[in-house]
Amino acid sequence: MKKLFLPLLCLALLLCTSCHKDSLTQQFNAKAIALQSTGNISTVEYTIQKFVKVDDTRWNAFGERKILYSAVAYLKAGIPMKDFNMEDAHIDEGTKSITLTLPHAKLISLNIPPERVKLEYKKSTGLRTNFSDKEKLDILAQGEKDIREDLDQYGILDDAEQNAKIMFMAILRNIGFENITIKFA
Amino acid sequence: MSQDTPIIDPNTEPITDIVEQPISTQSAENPSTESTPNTDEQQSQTSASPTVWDKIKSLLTRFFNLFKQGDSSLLRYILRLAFFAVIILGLFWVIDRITPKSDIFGFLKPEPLTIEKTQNLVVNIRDIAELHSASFCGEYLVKNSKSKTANADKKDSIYIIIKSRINAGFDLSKIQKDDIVIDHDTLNVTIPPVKILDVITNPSDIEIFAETGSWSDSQIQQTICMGRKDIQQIAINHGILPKAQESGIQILQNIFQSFGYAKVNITLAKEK
Repeated sequence: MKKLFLPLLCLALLLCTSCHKDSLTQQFNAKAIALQSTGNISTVEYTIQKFVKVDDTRWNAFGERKILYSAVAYLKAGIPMKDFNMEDAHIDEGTKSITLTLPHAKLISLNIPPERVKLEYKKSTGLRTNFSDKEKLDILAQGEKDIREDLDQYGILDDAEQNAKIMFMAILRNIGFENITIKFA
Repeated sequence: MSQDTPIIDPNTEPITDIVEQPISTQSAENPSTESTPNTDEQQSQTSASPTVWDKIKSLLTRFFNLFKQGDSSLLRYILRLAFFAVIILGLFWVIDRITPKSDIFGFLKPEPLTIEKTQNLVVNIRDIAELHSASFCGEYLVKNSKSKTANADKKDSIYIIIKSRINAGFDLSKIQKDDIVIDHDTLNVTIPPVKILDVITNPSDIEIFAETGSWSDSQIQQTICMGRKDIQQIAINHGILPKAQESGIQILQNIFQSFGYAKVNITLAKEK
């Protein structure tokens, strides 16, 4: 029994750690498709330029790694109109006046086209390996997240509401209204 | 003066004919051989001290002789230590694999890369008026391959999973004053034709699933652009444009009806 202990232990270790991997074709065939109707009116587009840089110099590594990307992002903001209904408009036909209550503006889309991402500088010295493709994508994803987080600083939502006001006022004037009040709630 | 002290007798003659006789045992046993001094040993003794390489060699020889000649207690001790170390490491490995949230070997993992904080510069502001009335979200696997330069039979491949969002709708900025006609209580509006407004594939939507060989950034970018074109076509094949048209017309009708018109006719302008 003592002689069998070590082989049995090794077998037990192997059984506990055996993993089941889906076949490659099963993984490749995974597609998620969703088609849905939306109702957003975009009224402003901001073009943002960003430099994404990483300086991977560590005390316990011989050598350094640096990388620098420049990226251009397009932000569109506007008014979500999918749930807009008649209760949001108060009309006085006598005075030809209308009070329109629109929802607050929100970010409709953030688009960083791959062709607008450019590798500006890359360096690996000493015993450091080059940045892998996965690391590069992760770095760019962090840059995208940084652009999203600074949304309040751009003033894009205020511009979107201002432009929506101008657009609806122009349409309502064409229709025949003279006194137009637009609010956001 | 003591009696033991030797007295030199001035009358004795000095010893002048001392003959040095070599002391050699070999000459007694083998009288035929000449008893010459061993010059090689004397030369080696007088040569330079052993080199560094000789010292390393002697240390290694002693180390291996330790196991060979059988300092068995030390060898058993080392083997026992190695065995228990393997068992303990194996147990930790099993625990790490079984419990997904454990991170016993976390200290071996490299620190994640973090970007430096840089400014987000607004370089352009554009006023637009787009009605996004339909959205297609899809995940697509794109594959690209290239032949190795040395061997044309073997190919390098890359598999990239792309998640893309395609927005379709109307560009309302093209509506002119003449496109809105009021006929009593009927409002007639002519809007431009529906089109694809955005194809969004951000870095967080891209995953390199597998790759063989070396792929440059431009080649990967090319592959991603290929995938975007494919997924745009898939969106069109799934009917995003008719969906956007139907949904957009419905939304505009709701908006214009809220302006007090009982009947709203929305027609599409012909494509120029």
